[in-house]
Amino acid sequence: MPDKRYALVIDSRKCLDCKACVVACRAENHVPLGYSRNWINEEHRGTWPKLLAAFEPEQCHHCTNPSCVRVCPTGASFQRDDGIVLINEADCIGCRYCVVACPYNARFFREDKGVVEKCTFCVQRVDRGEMPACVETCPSKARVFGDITDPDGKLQQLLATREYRLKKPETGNGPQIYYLI
Amino acid sequence: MDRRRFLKTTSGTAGAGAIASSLSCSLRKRGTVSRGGRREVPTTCELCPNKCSVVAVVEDGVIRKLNPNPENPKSRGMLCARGNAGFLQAYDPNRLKRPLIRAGARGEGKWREVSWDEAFDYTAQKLTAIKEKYGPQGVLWSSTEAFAEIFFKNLGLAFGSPNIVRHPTLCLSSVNLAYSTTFGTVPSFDLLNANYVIMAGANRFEALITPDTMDLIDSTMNRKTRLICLDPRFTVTASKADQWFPIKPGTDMAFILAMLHVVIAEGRHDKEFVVNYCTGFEQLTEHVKPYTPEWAEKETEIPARDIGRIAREFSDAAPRAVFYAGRRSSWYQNDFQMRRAQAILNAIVGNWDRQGGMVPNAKIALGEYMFLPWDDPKAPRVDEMDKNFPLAAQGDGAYLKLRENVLAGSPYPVKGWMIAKQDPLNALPEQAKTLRMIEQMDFIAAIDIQMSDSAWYADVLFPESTYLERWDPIEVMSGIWPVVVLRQPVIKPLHDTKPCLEIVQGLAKRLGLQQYFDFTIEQWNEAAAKELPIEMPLEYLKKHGVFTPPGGPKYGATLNPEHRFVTKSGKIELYSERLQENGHDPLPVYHSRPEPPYGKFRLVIGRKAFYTHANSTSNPWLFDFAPENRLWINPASARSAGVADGDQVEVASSVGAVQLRAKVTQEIRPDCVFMLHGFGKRSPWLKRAYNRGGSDAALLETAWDKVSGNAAMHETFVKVRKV
Amino acid sequence: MRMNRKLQLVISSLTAIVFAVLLSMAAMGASSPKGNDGKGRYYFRQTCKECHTKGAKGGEITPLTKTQAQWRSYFLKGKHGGGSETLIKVMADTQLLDVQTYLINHAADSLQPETCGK
Repeated sequence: MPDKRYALVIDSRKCLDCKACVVACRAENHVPLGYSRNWINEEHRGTWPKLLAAFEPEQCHHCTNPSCVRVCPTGASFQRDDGIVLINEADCIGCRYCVVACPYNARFFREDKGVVEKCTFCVQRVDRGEMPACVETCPSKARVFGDITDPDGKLQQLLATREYRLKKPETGNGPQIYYLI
Repeated sequence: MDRRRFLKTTSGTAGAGAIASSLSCSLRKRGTVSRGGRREVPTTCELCPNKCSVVAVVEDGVIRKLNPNPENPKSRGMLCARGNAGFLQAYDPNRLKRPLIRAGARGEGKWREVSWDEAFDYTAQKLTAIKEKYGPQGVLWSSTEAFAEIFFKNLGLAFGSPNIVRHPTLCLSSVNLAYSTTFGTVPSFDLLNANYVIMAGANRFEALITPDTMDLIDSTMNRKTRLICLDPRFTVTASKADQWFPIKPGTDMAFILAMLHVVIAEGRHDKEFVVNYCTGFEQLTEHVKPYTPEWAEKETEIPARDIGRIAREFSDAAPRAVFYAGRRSSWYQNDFQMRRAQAILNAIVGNWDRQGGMVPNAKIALGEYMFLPWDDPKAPRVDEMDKNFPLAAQGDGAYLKLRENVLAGSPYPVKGWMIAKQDPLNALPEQAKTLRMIEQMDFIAAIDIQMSDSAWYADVLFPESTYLERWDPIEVMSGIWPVVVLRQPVIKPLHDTKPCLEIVQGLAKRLGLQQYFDFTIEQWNEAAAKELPIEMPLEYLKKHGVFTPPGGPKYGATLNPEHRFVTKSGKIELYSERLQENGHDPLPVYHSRPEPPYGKFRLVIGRKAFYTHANSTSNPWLFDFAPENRLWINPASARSAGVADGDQVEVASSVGAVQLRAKVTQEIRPDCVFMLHGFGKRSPWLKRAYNRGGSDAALLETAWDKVSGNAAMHETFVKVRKV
Repeated sequence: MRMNRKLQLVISSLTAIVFAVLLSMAAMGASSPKGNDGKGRYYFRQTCKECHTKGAKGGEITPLTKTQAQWRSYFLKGKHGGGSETLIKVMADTQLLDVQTYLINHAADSLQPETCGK
């Protein structure tokens, strides 16, 4: 059991598809238009007038057993002790094996830089003791970020009292975005 | 199955019930922190009227990020997409960078860059010429809500013109007037603590993301507040609501009157409150007798048993129950009376000044920079407010009526138009008429940050500094827990732009009116901040961006027999004598709205949180989400119109036609079509938005609410055909 | 040339009478008196507010303190300080007309619908 592991708990019921998190990420991490480190999945169902709509934020799941790190030939993709999966751009040769290996399509290749990029949990903020930009800005406060190993922490509190699901757990990647149901 | 939980569950423990998921806010160093060229400057957003508090992060002199400021108890650490993208306004390469004077024909797009002196001199000369020929009333001064708007408005008044027109009759004046008529004031809705919320037509989870949004999503999802949504469209709000009814457009009043009928007939009103604080209950009781749920079902297409049930649930939940007023413009010509019905319903269940109900806004006393103002204008207003809308806020004018009179040249000609922070070509329905109004002007000048559609037709353009480049007056954001907010420069102006006050001062000097603007913004703010109960108030505000008085939200201050409501009787007026004296229904009377004839649809418009109003048009990060608007049309209607999803269609009303692509969707009633507001821009300088999508302003017919003069925006019927 | 004291008295009484008539004419009108609302506000805050704020010697007075009818009656009487002096002693007559206009326009039962912004 690691000393610390960062994870995200998201209450999708509260997501309004307002795109604040997408814009905040773009600003914080200088992501140019045409690429996105985070996105909102949409589902619309039903026939008039019995209709349903739901929105689900997603980004890199910073898995416990990340396939992207496993397939990287240069070691550019690596995982910190606290669980955050990062890319060392200097070592990235742009082969894009990791883009293929990710079950969540969270990674993308930057044509302008020749390297791969993805959500970093705003590591520069986290290391300053701040929240990731998407978490901080969300008007619905749908996102909770923190250390999932902390027995007194908010994340464990939530997961103990609410039902939740993971995306594609069958891959064995151990994704760390928990979607409250 | 809970309709919100349909996404397939694969794992997880059994839930015992939700707990409040509160987010721990990040620790943030306040004020200016130097960290290798990094500064943090607190200020106030300007992308919408909610004025959330932000902290701008500047690195090496460039704004990199806007973060929410957790110190504001209303905006509470939220910042929407527009707020996040706001700093791109300053770095827009196509923004107005220096004063311009038109060089070719109006609308041709030929401009001369000029000095401020030349722009001021030329404008003053033109305004003086109009004043000499037509009197000062010959110049119209139109503006939209802003902290610095008061300076522009005062310039118009000092000039001697009575023709000041503001945005409220294009926005929520019918709400303001209806609630003022009933309660003497417009309250805030305590959505955070309400247990039952009815939202009709207001799309608080989608159209605009505000602190009200945050309060409501929190209470709906965490505290199990019941949300009932009435809307002809399946909006995001509808998707989150406990129940959504696709109400027939124009029948909201029928729904409310039937609720009143049930509440009173079954004695579910707050009897003590009604006796102590209200007048006219007996007349109301008689009045609503015929408005049964069965009658309302025929009008609204909502089952009578649901109307009755909602009325009972609403009154059971009271006082923590509200029928939300909404903000946006009127839809129909009797919307004032519809909002009156809302206000009356809210009143009789006794949610006034209680937690979870409607709370009169608390204010904070600010000081004031005092000076002896100008003489009253000699001429009456061109829109004849005192004759046409005597009960409405006279100083705001009635924009559509004003335009009619200006076009007719009656009661007198108006030949000059000064515009500030407004895009009338898109803000007013029936764009063709606004264009004619522009054509008949001898002179037009606009204060703007970008080459909006209206700026494109001006003769002189004064480039204003963006909200991140200037000082503005400090302001009280009144509400259930009021605060004082400050807007200070984050960066120096990037171009040769000025804040509104300096533009006004430049003009005032040449018009001989400088004595009314003989102060700096610092002096203005010093005087305002003086009354605040803290040491060195301006220094505090510069460091924190917001001053929050201690004590939290307060309720019940007006719930005592001594309190006099600002109404004729001193009580909450269910029955309004003032309305009767002015020839209006003293209690709301229902009239069916005309329905679209065969082959036509009612045009319904709305907004999307990241693409609302002129501010976001050319913002690249916001534009990216919605490069064009589409015409929403129900599959059955699409079939009958011969339209498939993605087809280019022509939408035509009696006053205009536009083209845009169709979106065939289940999420709208068959008798309506919908389009987002704010597309179909005409200004080529709005490089991204130019010619994208269709303009609702071009299609909407001129109509206004009888009592308030509020533009009625859902009265237009359109034909749709594939092109 | 120094004016005869008797003459002075006559003139000041005449002024007071003329002024009272003017004010009463304004007061009897069903609509607002014809002074300048904005200037009235300025004079009220410059002169009256000194004593008529919370905790000050005259007690807090705002336009909402009286109804329109009560303000009209007050100005008709023309007295100040609990009847100890005339209003003209406090303020010039033109200023008084403006102040009266301001107070009546924003009185406790006046028509003053709220709006967004200023």
